[in-house]
Amino acid sequence: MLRHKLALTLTLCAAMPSAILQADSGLKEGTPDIKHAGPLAFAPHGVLLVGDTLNAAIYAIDTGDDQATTGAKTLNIEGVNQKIAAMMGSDAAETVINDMAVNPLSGSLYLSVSRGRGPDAAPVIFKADSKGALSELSLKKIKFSKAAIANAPESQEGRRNPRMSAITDMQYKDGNVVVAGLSNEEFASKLRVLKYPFDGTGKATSVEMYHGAHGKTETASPVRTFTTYEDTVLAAYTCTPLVSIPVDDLKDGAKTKGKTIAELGNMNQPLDMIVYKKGSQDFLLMSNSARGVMKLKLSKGDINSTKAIDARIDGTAGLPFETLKDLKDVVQLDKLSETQAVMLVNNSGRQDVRTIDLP
Amino acid sequence: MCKLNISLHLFIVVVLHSIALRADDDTKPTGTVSFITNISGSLRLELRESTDSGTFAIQGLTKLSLLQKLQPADLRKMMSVRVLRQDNAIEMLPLLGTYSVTDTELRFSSRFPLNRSIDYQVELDPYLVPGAHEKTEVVIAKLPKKRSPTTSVLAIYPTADLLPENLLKFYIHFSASMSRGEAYKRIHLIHAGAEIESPFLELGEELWDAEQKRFTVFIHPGRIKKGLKPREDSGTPMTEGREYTLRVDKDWMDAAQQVLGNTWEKKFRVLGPDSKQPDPSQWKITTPIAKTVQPLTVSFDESLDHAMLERVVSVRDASGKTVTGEILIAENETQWVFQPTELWESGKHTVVFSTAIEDLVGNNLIRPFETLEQETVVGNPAVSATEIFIAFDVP
Repeated sequence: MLRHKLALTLTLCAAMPSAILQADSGLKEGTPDIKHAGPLAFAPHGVLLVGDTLNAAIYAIDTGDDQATTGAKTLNIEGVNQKIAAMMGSDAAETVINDMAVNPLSGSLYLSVSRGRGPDAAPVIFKADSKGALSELSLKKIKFSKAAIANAPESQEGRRNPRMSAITDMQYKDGNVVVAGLSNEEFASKLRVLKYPFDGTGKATSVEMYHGAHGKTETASPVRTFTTYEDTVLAAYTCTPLVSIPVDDLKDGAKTKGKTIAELGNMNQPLDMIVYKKGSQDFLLMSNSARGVMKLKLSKGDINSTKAIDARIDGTAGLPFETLKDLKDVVQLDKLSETQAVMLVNNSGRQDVRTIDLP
Repeated sequence: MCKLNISLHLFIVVVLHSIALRADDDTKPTGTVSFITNISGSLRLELRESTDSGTFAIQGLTKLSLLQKLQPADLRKMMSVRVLRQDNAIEMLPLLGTYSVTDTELRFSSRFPLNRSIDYQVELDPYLVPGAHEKTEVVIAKLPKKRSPTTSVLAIYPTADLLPENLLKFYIHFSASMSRGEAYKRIHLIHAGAEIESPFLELGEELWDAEQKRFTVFIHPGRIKKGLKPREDSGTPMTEGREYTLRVDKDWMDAAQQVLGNTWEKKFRVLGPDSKQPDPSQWKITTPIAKTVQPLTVSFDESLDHAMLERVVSVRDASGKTVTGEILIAENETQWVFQPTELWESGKHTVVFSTAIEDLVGNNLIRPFETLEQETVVGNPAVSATEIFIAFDVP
């Protein structure tokens, strides 16, 4: 009898965190109908956000991976794309790693993967634990919620609608999920802000992003990647200026214009960004297609006081940055701990997961 | 490109105790048998495929009732399925999947369907498999692939041979679904035999339609916009008066992992920049008469975006109901032709255009690609106008 009681108590304790989580986040058990696992981000309590361009939706998935760990970790996986491909019974040529994100609670790494490159490619999410052991995050009977991100595209009944709104990046910030998207038809860039936990209405704040050129004109411009820093969104445009937008400006139906705070050089596509603190100084780290990872000193004061780059300039301008030349071919970047970053690096056909100390 | 024959290699063949087959299996095997081989004696490997999994079944084992008591982790030690390791490749982790033991066989069912262009290797551990004495490995070479017809490029829009210097995008239409992930390596902009460096907007999420039959290529907007650094440094990707070729590589794989096989090219000459928005007051409309299926034609003052002409233009009758019909886009996207499914009824009709419709350089009906700077325009009525209406009478 005593033993029985003890067992019951343990069960209750084990069940409690997820019960609380469910009440908090509106997640319900089921199997999400994800068609494409694209951009990833983490919401609180180990909830993984998955962007699905094909379904025009964001999924919030309870990974159950909510045990906090602290301290330095080392996560290195050579040929992670080949390893994942082998586990899926396929080869690296038929495997695409779309994004990666670290669960800030546990330090585990999550990878969104397409098995295949065709329209029927299977979406798969892999987890690498702190020792680098890979496993699939099963999406069967998992707690999740879903929010639609696109306005219903204009279309006529019975006609095929090829319009898609690609999700280019996604971040969680203080009860909101900010989503950057670009249509494959009209040229417009939208930042959408969804309240999290998702309320089921799919109602999103939609902001038209304009980019002021150096002079008198401005254009709608697509955000390639972004991060949040204090009360601003730091967005890298496809033409590599770094722009700050106050979070408060993200109001429904608004047209907003970012302030260009840095020019990061030309013939260059920004790929991923993280913000971190070293000592008392904040930094931004950005991977890009053309050169080593870029590092930028960041402070709210500097963002506010830097003169917006609105005149023709030579070389780079705005906030100064340095290029870390030894970090090459970094396609994905995330913070692993307070002192480390984890990167996905292209290494002659192979992709490696590597941990570095934050520079 | 792909091996079409089935071949079988037995690295080590071992004679195992033969036992009589047990009574029929109570769990029906699913899928189609695509491969059977005798490993040795009574031991046999059967591979069955279904649309979502491959089942590797070892038949002829002794003591299956003992195996039925084992945990999946133990069964995994006994039998594993891997992708055959290539020279200098990393260690191959076993396939994800589930194990089961029936009255007739030990089964491994893969989490994903098998990839027919891959060699798989099945390993049995002699110390764990009842009756086996030595390590056994069976390689199942590439399975016969269903050959699909070669994919081709059906069209590249815009279709005109003369295009503005600040052209914003191309649409490439394919006859079948293409592969994702290497688009920007497979499309080239060429002038005088030399490739233009970084002319396109490259996105991690490639801009395909859902079927992956249409690819949207944006010209790098930073190199079109005046005053932006990429354009200041490198100029516009295209220059007025010059001739260019948009080339689609023959090595681009379709979704069935077959290369296009042919190189596809669109040649064009570049005109000066277009900074003018489409002007609906200049458009001409040719109207049909009632009780016919004559086409309705709207002719524009310039070429418009092909995809949007197919999606954001419609015809409504006097009651506001959408008239059904076929859309044809003609004359280098300067003409929108509508063929109704049923006879026209007489009376007032309207052609409705979304104001988001763009010309070839991204100017739409309410704003040019490059607008004059202005402060917040929340609530600007011009911006909130999402449609324009062109009324016509069907006599």
